[in-house]
Amino acid sequence: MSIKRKTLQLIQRRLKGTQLCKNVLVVLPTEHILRGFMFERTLSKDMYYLWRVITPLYMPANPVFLDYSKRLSKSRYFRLTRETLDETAEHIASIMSPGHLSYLRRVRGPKEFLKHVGWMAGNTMLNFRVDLALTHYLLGNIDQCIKILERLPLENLAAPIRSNIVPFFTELRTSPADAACRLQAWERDTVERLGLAETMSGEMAGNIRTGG
Amino acid sequence: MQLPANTRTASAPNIRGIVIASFADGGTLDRTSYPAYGASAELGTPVGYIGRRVDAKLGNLPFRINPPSLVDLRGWGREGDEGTRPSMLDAYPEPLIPGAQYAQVVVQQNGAATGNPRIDRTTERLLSVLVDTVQSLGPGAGPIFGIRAHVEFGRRIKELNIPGIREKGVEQSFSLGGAADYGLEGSIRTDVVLRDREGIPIAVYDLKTGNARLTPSRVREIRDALGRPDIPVIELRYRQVSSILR
Repeated sequence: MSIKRKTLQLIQRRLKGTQLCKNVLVVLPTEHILRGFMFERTLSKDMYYLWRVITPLYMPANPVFLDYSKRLSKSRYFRLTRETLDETAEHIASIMSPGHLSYLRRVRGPKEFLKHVGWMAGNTMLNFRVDLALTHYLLGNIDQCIKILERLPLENLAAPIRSNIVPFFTELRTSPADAACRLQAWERDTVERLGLAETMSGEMAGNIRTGG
Repeated sequence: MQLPANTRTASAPNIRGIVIASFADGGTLDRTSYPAYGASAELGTPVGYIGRRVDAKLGNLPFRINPPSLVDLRGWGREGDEGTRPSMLDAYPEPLIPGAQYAQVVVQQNGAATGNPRIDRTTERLLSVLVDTVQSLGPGAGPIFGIRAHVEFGRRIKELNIPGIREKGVEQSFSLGGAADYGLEGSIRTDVVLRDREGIPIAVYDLKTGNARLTPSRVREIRDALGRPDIPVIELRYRQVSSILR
């Protein structure tokens, strides 16, 4: 087991309501938004950044974007070594909780995600606009979703995202049911890839369990 | 690429939109314009001009031995060498020369003028931080030294909390146009990213030590990962006197 996982595993024991899924310590339950903590390696041996992760799961080809996440402790390095594992886990858990953990618990679904990214209103970054559109879609604001997508130069999106968003946008206007299925499929793929199935609650959990 | 003795090699063909900012240690900024790609009367061959080299004297060395930073592009495509991979020699800093007396920083600089005052101001500031970083590290070379320089440089930038960079703009990784985990397959790590008020990346800085160069393929990778095909990729460079003398 990697030192990152081992450390997060020890932290999980200290923080109730969290579950280690691959390399992310996930805050339970998951409802369309991944919330948790993860380590990112750095140039220096044994040194890692600690991230508070918030990312929507309904983005196609989502490699866990960190655009809405935050590096903790002013981006300082954390040294993870097997010799001081317990001590380090204790220290890092005290950084995560209660402040950051409480915040993550509040950003539960798409509605709260919109609040979380509220400061970015007006931002013209393509990925952000797509996330915003899809979040509105999930909240039932279909018109708003279409309005945002209409204004986007979709051809400038990264190929793996573009190849999904363009047909989604078409279906949104011609065959809404297909668009809904497509978005669910993206989320299901991401959930499976990140090993989040057990952390899911709500409608998506049912869909994943039934393969629907 | 084989070059005659005392000629500096540089895998830096003319890449449109790229600015190469080398710096002068502790020196004044002597801005030079960024001449267009074209034929050189001096060399009689197509060249990519990466700026006039300005060497600052830190010890008691004659610095005028250095040739201008003209890259011999004979046989290269007009848009740079897209097909040839840089050798491993390009990828690693130069080794420390045993017995070398002059391990100070030599200063190479051109005016990294992008025309965007915010970027240019930040470039100057980063160069100044780089000078301080190198001076604080003392003499050294090689891959380990290169990592130390990156780490120390990053630490200082984070501490300075520079507008548009802050802490998150240091050692930030990207994939598919978004910030991503460095461990992620296909992600690239930038040394420093400068953002505008909206948080949109407007310049990327790449710190190079020794012989390491910003290659066209690396620039393409960075731009692809950021999803910004025209973003300036600025090389921040320092070099040891010992390596110049070799």
